[in-house]
Formats: sequence, structure tokens, C-alpha cells
Amino acid sequence: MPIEHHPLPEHLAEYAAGVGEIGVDLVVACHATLCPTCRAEIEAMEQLGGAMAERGANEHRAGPPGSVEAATSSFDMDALVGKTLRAVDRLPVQVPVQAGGPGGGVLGPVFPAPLRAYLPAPSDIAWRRVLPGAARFDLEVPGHRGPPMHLKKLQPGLRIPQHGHRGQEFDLVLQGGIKDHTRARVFDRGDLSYADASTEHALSILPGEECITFSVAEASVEASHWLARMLYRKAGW
Amino acid sequence: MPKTSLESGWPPALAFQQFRRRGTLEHRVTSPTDRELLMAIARQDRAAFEALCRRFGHRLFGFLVCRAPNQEAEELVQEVMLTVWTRAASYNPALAAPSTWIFTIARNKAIDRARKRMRPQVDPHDPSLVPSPAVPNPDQHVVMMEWGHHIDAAMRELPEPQRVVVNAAYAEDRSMREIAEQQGVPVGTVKSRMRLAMKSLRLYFQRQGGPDAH
Repeated sequence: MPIEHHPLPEHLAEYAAGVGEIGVDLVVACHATLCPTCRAEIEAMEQLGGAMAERGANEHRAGPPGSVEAATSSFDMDALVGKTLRAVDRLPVQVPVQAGGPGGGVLGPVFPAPLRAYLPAPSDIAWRRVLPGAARFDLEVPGHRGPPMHLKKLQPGLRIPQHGHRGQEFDLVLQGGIKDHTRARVFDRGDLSYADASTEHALSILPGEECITFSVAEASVEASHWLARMLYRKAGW
Repeated sequence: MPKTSLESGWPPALAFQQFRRRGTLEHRVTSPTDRELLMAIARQDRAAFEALCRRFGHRLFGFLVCRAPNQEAEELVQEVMLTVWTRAASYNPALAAPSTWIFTIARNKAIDRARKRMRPQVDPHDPSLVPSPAVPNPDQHVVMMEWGHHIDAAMRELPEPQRVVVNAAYAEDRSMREIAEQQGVPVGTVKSRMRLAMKSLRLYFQRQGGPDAH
């Protein structure tokens, strides 16, 4: 099924400019692994940065003498070429792996490579049960001070009552699916559910397999009902 | 024994022999183009690789030395060229001029260095990767943009507030939050300016008729 719910253009642009925050960058990189359309969009935006860098380099060359010119005058081209060619000789031979290949099944591994870099082996993920039918795993990224990142594992059929958000929340579906009853949308693998302070919705997990999401949330959710508020607080959502 | 461009009959043997012998590309008329060099590098041609290193080394260093001390800038130039060697086969001429593609790699390397960690990136060898369709989807909202030839004209088309946001993010490496603080406007305003700017740039390139228009 084609992916229908994508990151907002400004999130793609921020990622492509290389100025994004690690959590959202991870969401975008994982989504782009599963979505060729956004991958192409990011590539085009990155070329914008490349064109601006090239323009800057040309302007420096054409501009008045200064520190850049002084630095480039000491640049030893022959040494660079020699070192680079020796480094080429030391490069390991890359064996291409086919997409959806061994170990991946039809859809490939549940966790795209950008996320796998921060996770233990899937069997070693220490899921913490936070509510009946819901578990989470907090990602530890050294030096990270942005919004917390975690995986959620939710049982099929689980209902998540009406709630709002105090900040941005990104939920990238990696397995199973979510139905948003308020916005009348279904989120499958690769789809990104984005919510902010203007979003209020009730969700349920689609029947079939467990739903796994990679989530980045700036702030906790705000449930409409007191009981749901208590449950969410317990779950740390 | 590495393959050479001569074996494939490309580029014209005489011109190629000439630049191999000299090791420099003083005579542009008989020199291979950047694109031809990249195609040869994709076939692991070391002479073409050396020629491309010499052609771009100074300019790359000039760009990178603005963002890193001399020695690190030299190391970054080497990293950029190694990436060119390993990824030359994936270069898509429909998407970017070779120089834009190479400077995109350089910019990404500079960003990773500034962030002190690799930006999370799509791994082309990831078994999870959903491959791009062989024929682009006509509904695909991206326009294949050849920025290099149009960047100044395209940027001039943007209203000043949008141009400031794009410049700050892509030329000065500022986050949306930093831009908002600098401009004294809410982050949401910066985001909406970025969204509008991307839309305007896309429309500009659509009007130009895509990458083949120049």
C-alpha cells in the first residue's frame, strides 16, 4: 500500500538543510527509507544546499583577497591527491544488499537502518509495559537534549481515547496500523502521524499484528477524560 | 588492473590520453567534462578520479576552510572525494550538475562535522529500503531540480522574508528556532515561510520546464 501521510515540507527542508533536531531527523530518515517520494524530495532540497555552497565557493574565489585566499594558497594539491588515492586503495569492497533481501522478508526489517543505529538487536529491546496492551522503549542518544524519543508497541484493537497535544508529536508507523477516528485516516507502515497543539483525536490500533511506532514527542498528551488523563500519565505519554 | 575510459571507447581516446599524460586539465577544449569524469569514476577509473580531485580540490577547500580549521578542511576535502569515488555510480545527471552534486556532498560533510555526529541518513543498502519506482510516479510532487543553473534567479523570485529563511537555513546552517530568534518572529512563522519558499521554488522550476530547460 502506498504511503499516504508524509512529513510536512518544512520538516523535510530542515532535514535536508542539515539543521534539524536528531529526533525529527530520525523520523524523516526512517520515513524516507520507506517512501521514495520523500527521498527524492529530500535529494532535491539537498541539491539546493549544494548549489548555494558552490555559489559561496565561487564568490570567495572571485572576491577580494582575504583569509580564505590566504588559506587556499597554502593548500597542497599534490599531497591531497596522493593521500586520497592511497585512501581509495584501502577502501573495503562494498557488496550491495538487495532491498527487502535476506533477513528482511517482504518488507525488510521492522526498523529502518537510521533507527537500528540506536537500538539493540530486536530480541534485546527491553520493552517496558506501561498499560495493559501498551509497552514502550526509551531511546538513549548520548548528548541529546531535544524531545524524548521512544518506541511504542501497542496491541491490536487497543483504543486510545480522545486527547489533545501540548506540543508537536511524530508517530511513524513501523508495523501494524493505527486508525484516527477523528481525522478519518488510517496510518500503515511508513505513514507518519503528526499532531500538534491544534490536534485532538481518538485512535485505535488496527486488528491483526501488534503496532510498533517510533515516536518523538515534545510534550505529554492532554486527555479529555479524567480517567484517560490518569492512564496517560502512568504511561508517560 | 583498473578499468580505464579508453577500454570503453569514452571519452574520445585522444583527449583522454592527453589529460592522462599531463595529469592536469589546462586545455578545457580537449578535456573531459565533469560529467564524463564522473561516469569514468563510476567504472573505477583512477586517472579520471585524479583529474576530478585536481579540478575541484581548491574550490572545495575554499568552501570547507570557512567551516573548519585548515587541517580538518583538508581531511574533509579528502572525505568528499572518497565519497565521490564510492558513490559516482549513483550520480543522477537529471537531478543535478556534477559540481552541485559534489558540493552537496561537501556541505553534508561539513554539517556532520559541525554536529559532531552523522546526521541520520537513508542507507542505500538497507534491506528495509523501499526502492524508487523505475518510472517516476507522475503524481510525485517533487520536481527534479537542477539548481546550479538557476539558483540566483530562483532565489530572486522569493519574497524577502522567505529568501532570508532559505538563506539562513541552507547557507548559514541555522535551525528554524535559531532563525526565529534572529528574526524576532515565532518558530511557526519561520516554518510557514520555509514551506511557502519550497513551494515557490518548485513552481519556479516547473515554469522553467524542469531540468532539461536550460
